[in-house]
Amino acid sequence: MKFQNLIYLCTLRIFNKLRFFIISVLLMLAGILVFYGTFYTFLYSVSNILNERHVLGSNHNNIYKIESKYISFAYDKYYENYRDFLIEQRKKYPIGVYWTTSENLTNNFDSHTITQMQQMCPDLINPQLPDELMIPTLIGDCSLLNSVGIHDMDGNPIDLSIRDNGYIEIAIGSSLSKWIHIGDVLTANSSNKKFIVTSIIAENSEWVQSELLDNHVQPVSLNYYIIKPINLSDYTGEECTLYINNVYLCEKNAKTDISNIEKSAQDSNIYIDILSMSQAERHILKENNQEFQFSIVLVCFMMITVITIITILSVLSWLGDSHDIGILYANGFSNKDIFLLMVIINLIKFIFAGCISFILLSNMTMQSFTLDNYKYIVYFVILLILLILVIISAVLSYIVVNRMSPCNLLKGERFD
Amino acid sequence: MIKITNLKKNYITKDCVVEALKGVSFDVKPGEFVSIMGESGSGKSTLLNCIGLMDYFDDGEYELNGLKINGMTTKQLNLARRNNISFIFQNYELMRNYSVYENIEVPLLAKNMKFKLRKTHIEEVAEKLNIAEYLKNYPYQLSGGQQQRVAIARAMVSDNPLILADEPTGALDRKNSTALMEYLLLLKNMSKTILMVTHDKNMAEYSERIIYIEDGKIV
Repeated sequence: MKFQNLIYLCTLRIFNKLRFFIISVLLMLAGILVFYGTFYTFLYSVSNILNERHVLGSNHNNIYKIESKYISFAYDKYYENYRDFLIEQRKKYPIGVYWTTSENLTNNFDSHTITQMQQMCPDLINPQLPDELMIPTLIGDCSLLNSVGIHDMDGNPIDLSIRDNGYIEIAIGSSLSKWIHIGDVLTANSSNKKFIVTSIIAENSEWVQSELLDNHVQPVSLNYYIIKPINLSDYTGEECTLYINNVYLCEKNAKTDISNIEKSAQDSNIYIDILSMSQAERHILKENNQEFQFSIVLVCFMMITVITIITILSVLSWLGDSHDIGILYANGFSNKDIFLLMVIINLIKFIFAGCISFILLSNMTMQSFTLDNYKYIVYFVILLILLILVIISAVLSYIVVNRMSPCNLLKGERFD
Repeated sequence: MIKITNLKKNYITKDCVVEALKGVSFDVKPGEFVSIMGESGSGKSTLLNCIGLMDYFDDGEYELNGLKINGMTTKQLNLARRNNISFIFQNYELMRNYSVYENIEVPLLAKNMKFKLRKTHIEEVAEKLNIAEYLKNYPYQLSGGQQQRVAIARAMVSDNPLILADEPTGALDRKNSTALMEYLLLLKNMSKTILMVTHDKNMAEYSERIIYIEDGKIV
């Protein structure tokens, strides 16, 4: 039988049969299951290996990761301390709060280092206002002020948005209100920055909401909040980029001195973990061979399981059509024709399922740096699975075809 | 056309061996219309399956259109079936998910006929059998009589010299049965050899010769 006639019959079968689509969808789901399963199993083992070394991933040998979780920790302490500090200071002094940025601190926190945050501020922590006023001035922002619930004398939330008058807006404690009034301009001794009083803080303002207080950790020394955060850009220029929270990826080059960064961090009581990705990759291949082998066994197991399911589904779908096969025999189709028909249709199903999986997987890998690193391995696995499926389905089809008796097929019996 | 000598066929079950055909011998000449009659379980359908190369026989000799079937490989058997035999079944045996046109087309695909030629043949046969208007329909949209006409069309279109009909009127009413026999006569007039298995004496009377089979033997 000519190949084009076989293809024609396959086409008829595909478009005429609802079952084809159902089986294809099932295959597609099974395919996605195995591909994603394989992928995540692989990734799981890799990430386990990587996590042990605080490495999240890289596709370059000359990339270092700096684990700066301690910076985050310091910042958290700083933030909590800041609130505690406000509470404590309020008891002792009239407090002025000046506004630094209209950007939300939380957003900044996600995307900037402490140093960058500080650089955005017009002045450093605890600048000196006129000595005679003895007002400790603090960095503040919307989210913090909202969280501590500062209100003006009229009970309204204090509006500390930046205005284009060249002054930094501040709120002052009510005890100062007999000397200082709204609209007064104050000048800082150390920096000569101008502050304009926009609000007077009400006596009964709740600085920190009770539920926030409940979550507080133990107060730490005030010294802690002025811990010097590491500024990677001082040492690395543009080579270090924030990858995810607290994790920087730095390309190694002449300008980057990793040991210098490490030393600087230690000087600032910040502990950072620096590891070469190439070392980690070597670990994967050599030192963690056992774990890697285990993951491969797991992947193989999944592959075999799903391949079996798919193959059984595929063969069952054909057995469901045994009557049609009997009719084809009766009308002059040979064993070879039937075999080719089964193989071609199975092939089309697998390609259909594989294409969908490829598309989904491609979209998924695009979203993740780590996944992207291993996408070629995963593609290879998918291709391998497809190949195995085609071979197995061909072998099974051959066996099925040779065990089928045309006479029995027409009677509804499937095998001799 | 058919020359059968001492044909034997056994079915082996778990408990025993059932002798379905116990040495059947007969000849059918080209262009002849022969009926095989017998009770249920007499072996007539088994005989037809063996003649149609849809089932193997255990012993005996079988010559089909000058071809010695004994000792043929599966490939040769397939080829012999493709080029010599067409079937008409009791339950029509149409593929449910293929249109009437596609069902009739199947034997032509097996014969590697080109698309345009296939189309011409199918339309020609459909006209003869008054099913031209149903070519785009699916079998389940047709009545029993119409489906059987499609089955005849499929047998007719392949232009094979031997037509084997297994209880072709079994699922039809009297009117449709009579119409079907007229179509079989039409096939006979086209010089086709027809071998029909039936248990209906009225239908068997349309044939030129009746072979009676009982308990696996011709009587």
